[in-house]
Amino acid sequence: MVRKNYARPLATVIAYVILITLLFFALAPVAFMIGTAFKPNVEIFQVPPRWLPRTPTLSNFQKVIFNSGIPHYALNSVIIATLTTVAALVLGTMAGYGFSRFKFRGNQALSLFMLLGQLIPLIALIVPFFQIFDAVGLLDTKIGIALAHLTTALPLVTWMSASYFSTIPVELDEAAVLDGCSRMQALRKVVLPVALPGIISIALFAFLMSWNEFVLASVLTNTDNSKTLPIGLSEFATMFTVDWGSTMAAAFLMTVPVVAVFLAFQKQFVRGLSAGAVKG
Amino acid sequence: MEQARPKVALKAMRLPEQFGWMPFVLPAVIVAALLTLYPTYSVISASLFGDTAKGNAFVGLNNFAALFRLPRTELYLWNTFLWVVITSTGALVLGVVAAFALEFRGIRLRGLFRALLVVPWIMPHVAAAIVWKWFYSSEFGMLNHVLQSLGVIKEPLKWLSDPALALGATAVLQIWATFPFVMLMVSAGLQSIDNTVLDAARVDGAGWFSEAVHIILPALRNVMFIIALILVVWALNSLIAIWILTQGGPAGATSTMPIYIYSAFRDFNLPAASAASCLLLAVSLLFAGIYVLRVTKEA
Repeated sequence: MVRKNYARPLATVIAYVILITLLFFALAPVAFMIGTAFKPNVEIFQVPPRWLPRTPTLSNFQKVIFNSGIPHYALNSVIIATLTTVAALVLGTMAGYGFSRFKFRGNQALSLFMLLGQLIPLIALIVPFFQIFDAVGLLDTKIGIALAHLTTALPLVTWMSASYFSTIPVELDEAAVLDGCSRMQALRKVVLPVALPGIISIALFAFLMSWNEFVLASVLTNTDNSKTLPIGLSEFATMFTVDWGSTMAAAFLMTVPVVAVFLAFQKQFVRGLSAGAVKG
Repeated sequence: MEQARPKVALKAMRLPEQFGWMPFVLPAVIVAALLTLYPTYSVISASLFGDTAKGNAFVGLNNFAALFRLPRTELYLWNTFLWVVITSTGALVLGVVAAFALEFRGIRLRGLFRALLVVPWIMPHVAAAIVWKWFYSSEFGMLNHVLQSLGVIKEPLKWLSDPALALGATAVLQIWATFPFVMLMVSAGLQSIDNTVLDAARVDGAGWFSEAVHIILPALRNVMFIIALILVVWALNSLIAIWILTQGGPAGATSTMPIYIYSAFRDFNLPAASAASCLLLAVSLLFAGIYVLRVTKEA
């Protein structure tokens, strides 16, 4: 809002104090995670705990990368998230284009219906998802989990791409149609290339949604065949005796790519918020 | 290959213009319906069946009646209510405070503050919950140490195994993970307020208080309402925070409806899980309905 005019010194100080306090609240657990990940075992169980390791070590990371199921689960997660993203992009950008370019009866009703997948509580659907996927033989398969993740990824891509397409001038596809393209070709050859920057950030959104998803994946997975990273990590941390050093190293490894992607695409993320990214 | 085809044939193959939207929109709508409507129908019908002497048979509302006969059901409902109220209010208040501080005139490094404050929200939920479990550890965790050295507490507290503290402790994790979302939305709302209006008000001698009451709050009313609805829906359906930290314990102190559903599912008590799911579906679709009505009205 207002960034000029009279800045009252005392009020500015209060604003800084609030921000720094909130910063501590937001980052203290994260800092403790990073510190612990680099600590040797003796230091992890030292009382009182310290933020920084005295003798930093990579042994926790070594254990996670070479001596645990985590890399395998991460690979599963990458495959599943890629499948989800590709399917959501193909179906979702077409639908988003349709909603933004065609006037038809039921446009609003159908686009609100698409929002349902974002608003419906997934936890309330675990029983039918389990039964249906069991019946069609998709239990414990990567395809199955990717399909389940479409429940939230597809509405996300549809809404975000619809709002993105509506910022692109209609004259562009009209010109393409005049040149003999069908509407589908106009989308593929003219509109999509122009929309590419937006589409990339939408794709990352869908990818991260699948990368983070826990509830459906945990219900549809039995074995290492399809176990995703969140499930593997949660098992890591609910074992009888928790190896906190390795657990923090694994949590760190899972978080880093997400934060990196966010920082690179911050602006689009924030814009995407208002475009139907209802589920965080 | 495209130039060889005669134009007329091409045109004949095309759908009439009023159906032109169908090939674009319908595939996604059909997939979405299969993934949401069918499971919803299926869970409602599953809640009406159960194990009887004749095998899996129609039992009407018996599963719901059984749900309410369980000694703990009231506790679950009460916990869910508390959890939703505490986490939504907490995130809303913290997020609004953060946004106002962030958008304050004199603040430098605004982008850096924003990027760092958003980390809890973008961190994968499972990783965040696990990190908090370690942070809360009564013996080796940092929280007790920090609070003790600040003199806030004398003895280390058992955040996750003391029934009086556990629900609050899990709520703090949810607030931590969602307040940045509120902050981003509200600060976008603040940025969209017309500067000239504020300037005019100031020329007219409006102080910061009347500025807040007469200009800023009314401008944010819509966005706040939508944020509150989203927070409630999230809180109603949130499983990970509680499941990782306490699994509903100690002694049911953090058992909410999602925890009940998830545990019942893991015990293969599908009729009970289905009945509880229907209850949760009804409540969250009520809020989702309000959300949709609001969004429609605005568009």
